[in-house]
Amino acid sequence: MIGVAQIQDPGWLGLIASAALMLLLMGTALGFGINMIKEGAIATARATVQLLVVGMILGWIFAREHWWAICLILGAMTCIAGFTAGRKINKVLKRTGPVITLVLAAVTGLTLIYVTQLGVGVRGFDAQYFIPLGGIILGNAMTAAVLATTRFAEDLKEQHDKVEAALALGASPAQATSGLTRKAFTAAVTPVVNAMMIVGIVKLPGVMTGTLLGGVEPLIAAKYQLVVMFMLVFGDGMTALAVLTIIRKRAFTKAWQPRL
Amino acid sequence: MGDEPAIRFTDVCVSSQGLRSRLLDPPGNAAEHAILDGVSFEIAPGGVLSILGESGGGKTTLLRCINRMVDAESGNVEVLGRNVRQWDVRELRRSAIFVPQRSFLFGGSVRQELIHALRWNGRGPIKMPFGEVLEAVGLKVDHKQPADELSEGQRHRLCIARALLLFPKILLLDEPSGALDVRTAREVLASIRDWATGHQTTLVCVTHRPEDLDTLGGDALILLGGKVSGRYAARDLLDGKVNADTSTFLGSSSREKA
Repeated sequence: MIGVAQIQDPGWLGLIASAALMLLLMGTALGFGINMIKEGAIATARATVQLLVVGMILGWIFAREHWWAICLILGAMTCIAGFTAGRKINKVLKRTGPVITLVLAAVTGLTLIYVTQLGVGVRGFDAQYFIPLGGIILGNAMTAAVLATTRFAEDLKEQHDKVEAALALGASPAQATSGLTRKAFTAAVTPVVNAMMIVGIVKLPGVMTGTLLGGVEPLIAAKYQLVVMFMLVFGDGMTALAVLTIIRKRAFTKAWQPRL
Repeated sequence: MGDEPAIRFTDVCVSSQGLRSRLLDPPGNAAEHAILDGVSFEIAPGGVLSILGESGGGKTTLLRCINRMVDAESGNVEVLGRNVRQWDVRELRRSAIFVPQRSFLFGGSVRQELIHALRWNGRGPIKMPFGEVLEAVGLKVDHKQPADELSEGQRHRLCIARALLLFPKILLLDEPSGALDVRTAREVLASIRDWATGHQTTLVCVTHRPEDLDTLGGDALILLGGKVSGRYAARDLLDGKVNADTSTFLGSSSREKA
């Protein structure tokens, strides 16, 4: 652990007091003739149940430090991320969930091992590092996969004739779609690169906020945030490249005929 | 191989269903219809064949079968004596280059536009006869000029020049005269035909203008409803020595223009 974690437990009373803010807002909104009671109630209930359950599961894992439990929960998170991505892409391209899940598993696994062992300097499995870092890599990489795939598939449909014109001149699918691949990759990594540009100026980024709340020294919190940013750019970029390579292969027949 | 025809179609069938079947996301509930329905013909090496027929009648699909952008569902397509399915795809496509009706540019100057295709085929621009191919399509422009500043007609000729620079054995042109006025079309087609003759290149040309046959010479294949309605020497067709179906088709297409 970095220093000694010093954080106030909100306690159940504190939680109820905070949830009262939701009631306060819903009541005020009602005064303006805006009824958000149903949505507010559902969102509050869902968030409460989901987070408390996750908190309890993680508490169990943190207490025991079983390597298989860490793998199990990261695996479950990966599957959910992969299939959520697949569902979002469904409109432009069907059945991408399994492939994206595999890519996310490989990229997250390797990035996580590298960053924990070399970036943070943890030895072996440690739930305290693996689970939060794994989660943030997965969340970002999932978005990157969705952006890259959607962009590529949409562009390929739209520029089908132009791609075919290149194929007709002897271009391979990779050559004929190099411009589309570049655009899709850029679309996938732009959000995280843009975030790097303004980090710390407009608002404190999530990891830094979290570590500061946890009582960590600000300079260490800043270093942590940097480790996380580099990790995220790497994870996003590699996910996009891997997913694009696979989708591109799938988008053409063996005889180099476009299938979109 | 010398005696083999440059292209031989044997009973080739393609249907809309077949074209859709390769798609990852095939659109549902579309009606099935034949696009090519038992098409057979041959072209001798170095020959010229024009393909005429109604729009939507399978002319472009026929060309796309030759460079294997479309697979025949039944029947055989042979190019230079070999079934297209046995060719290496890249080798096939640079031996039989298809130039689509719309012109597509890949970015850069006129010269760079020509170089893209060379690079895709692993060749460099050294000692390439850029001037010669531009002349063959009657394009007199500065090689450094951005290609997207060219007129539509010039772009189309640049696309043909880009194909010529790969020295194909077979050149497949889809409506090359479409974007050109009548006089320019005549000049460009004559010049491409001469280039093809000079390089023993087989020329297959889809057109909707019977008067192009006058310039191209060779034979003409009439494709109606996905079937070969007749094949004539260009001169015979222009003189009206054709069968009843072809005559009706030629009559209607000239009335459309009138």
